[in-house]
Amino acid sequence: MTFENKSVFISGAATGIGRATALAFASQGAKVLIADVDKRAADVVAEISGMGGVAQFAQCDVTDAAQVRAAVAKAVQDHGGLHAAFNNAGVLPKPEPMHEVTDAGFDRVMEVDLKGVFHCMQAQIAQFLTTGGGAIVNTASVAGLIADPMMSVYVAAKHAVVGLTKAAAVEYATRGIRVNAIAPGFVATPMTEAWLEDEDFREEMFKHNIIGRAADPAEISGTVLHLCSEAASFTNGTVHVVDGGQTAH
Amino acid sequence: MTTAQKIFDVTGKVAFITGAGSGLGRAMAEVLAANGAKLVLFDVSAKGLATTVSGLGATEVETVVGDVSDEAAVEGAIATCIGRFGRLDIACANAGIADPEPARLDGYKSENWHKTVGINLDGVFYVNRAAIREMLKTGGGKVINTASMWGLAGAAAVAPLPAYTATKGAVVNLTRELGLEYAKDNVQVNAICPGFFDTAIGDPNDPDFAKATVEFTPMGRTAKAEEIMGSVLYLASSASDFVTGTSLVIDGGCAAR
Repeated sequence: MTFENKSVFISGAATGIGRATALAFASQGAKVLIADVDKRAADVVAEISGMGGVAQFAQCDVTDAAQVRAAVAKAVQDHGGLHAAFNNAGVLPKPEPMHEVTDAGFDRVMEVDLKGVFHCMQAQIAQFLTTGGGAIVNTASVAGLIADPMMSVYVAAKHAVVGLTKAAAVEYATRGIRVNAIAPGFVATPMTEAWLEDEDFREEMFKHNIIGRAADPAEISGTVLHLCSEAASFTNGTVHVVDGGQTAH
Repeated sequence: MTTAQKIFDVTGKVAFITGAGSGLGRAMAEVLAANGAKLVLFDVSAKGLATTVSGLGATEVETVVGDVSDEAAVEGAIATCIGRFGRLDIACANAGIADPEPARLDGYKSENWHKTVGINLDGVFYVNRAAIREMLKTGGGKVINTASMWGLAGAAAVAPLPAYTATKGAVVNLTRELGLEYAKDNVQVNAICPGFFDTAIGDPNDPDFAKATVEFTPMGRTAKAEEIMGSVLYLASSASDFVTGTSLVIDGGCAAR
C-alpha cells in the first residue's frame, strides 16, 4: 500500500486516532493537511517533517463551513489536489442523564460531531466532483451502532454520522467517490483518558467487553488506510468496526 | 519498512484457503502469496488448483483436493498443513456454492438445501474448528470466513436463494460468536460479505442476471475478483488486530441502500 504524492485531508489530528493516522499516511508518502482547532497539530506536522514527510496545519473549526472550505482549498492548492479525507474531529461529552442535557449541550455535540463531518464532506465532495473522485472515511464509533447509558447525544450524533456516510455513498456511487465510516471501540486517547483512569468506569466498561483492554490509536490507523486506498475500490457505504469484539455480543 | 507497511505484512505466515481453485479464493491465494505468505490450497477441483498455483510464482505452496463438506477431508488438509509448515496462522473458509437451482421455498428441493448447508455452513464449521485448534497452540491467528451481502439481507429481489441466504447469515453470526469466544486468545475471527463479483458463483453467462446485478449495485458495476484482495490482506495482517467478530461489506454500496 502506498499513498506516494497523494493529498490527504485529516480533521482532528492533533492527538489520538487522528494523529496516529496522520503519521501512518505520511509514512506511506502522503502529503497530509491537518485541520484542527488544537494547536498541538503543529507538533504532529513537525513530527512528519522530521521523518522526511510533507504535512501542513490549517487551524480550522469544523463547525464553521467557511473555515472547512478554506482548509480543503489549502490542501488542493499546496498538495496537488485532494485524493482522500479522514473526517475524524469530534468531542466526547461528559456522561449525563438524558433528561438533564441542556439545549446548549445538545447543540455543541451535534455541531462538532455531526455538522462538522457534514461540512467536511460537502467541501470534499464538491472538490472530488471536479476531478473524478476520491475516498472519504468518517469517524463514527461503536456508539453509532449501539447505545451506552448517559451518552444520549453522542450516541445520536454518531448514529447520524453512519447515516450520512451511507447517504453520501449511495448518492455519489457512480461518480468515483467512496464514503465509508469506522466505528472504533474503546481507544486510549486524550479524549478518553479521564474515563480510563476511573476504576469504576473501567470495571463497567469491560464487564461485557471480553477483550478487556482499550486499543492503542495506532491499531485504528490500518483500517483508515485500507479504506482510503485503491485496495478498497468496491467498498462503499460500509462501517468498519474496530472494537475488539465489543459489538459482536 | 515503515510501521504502516509492517502492519499489512504477512511475510512467513502460513495460510490455508478453501475454494482456492477459482474466484475469490484464487484472489486470496494471490494476494497472500504476493505479500510473503506460505499457502495450503484446498478445492474440489484439481484443475482449478493447478491454475491457481501456476499464477503464484515462487511461493511455497501445498495443494489438497477435497470437499469442505467432508469433515475428514478438512481435518486431513489441516494435518497436511501442519506436516509441511508446522503451524497455521491464517485460515480462509471461503469455499461455497450458490443454491444449485434457485427457487422459492415452496418448490425447493431438500437435496439442494442439504447440499448448500453442507458446503456453506458445515464446511465453515469444520475449517474454523480445525484451524482454531492449531492457532490456540501457537498463540493466535486470523480466521476469515466468506459470507456474503446475502448474509445480511434477503436476496429475492434479484433471485430466490433460500439456502444461500440462510447459510451466509449463519456464517455472519458464527463469526460474531467465535470472535467473542477467542477474543482473549489472540485469534481474530472476521467475515467478508462480498456483493456481486465477476466469479463463477454469480453465473456471469446469464445476461439477464448480469444486468440485474449491475442495476442493483449503487456503484453501477460488478467487481473484479482482485477487488477482494485489500480486505483479505487487511484481515490477515496485524492491521486488524483489534478487529474481531465483524463482517466487512464489499458490495459497491448495496447494503447501504
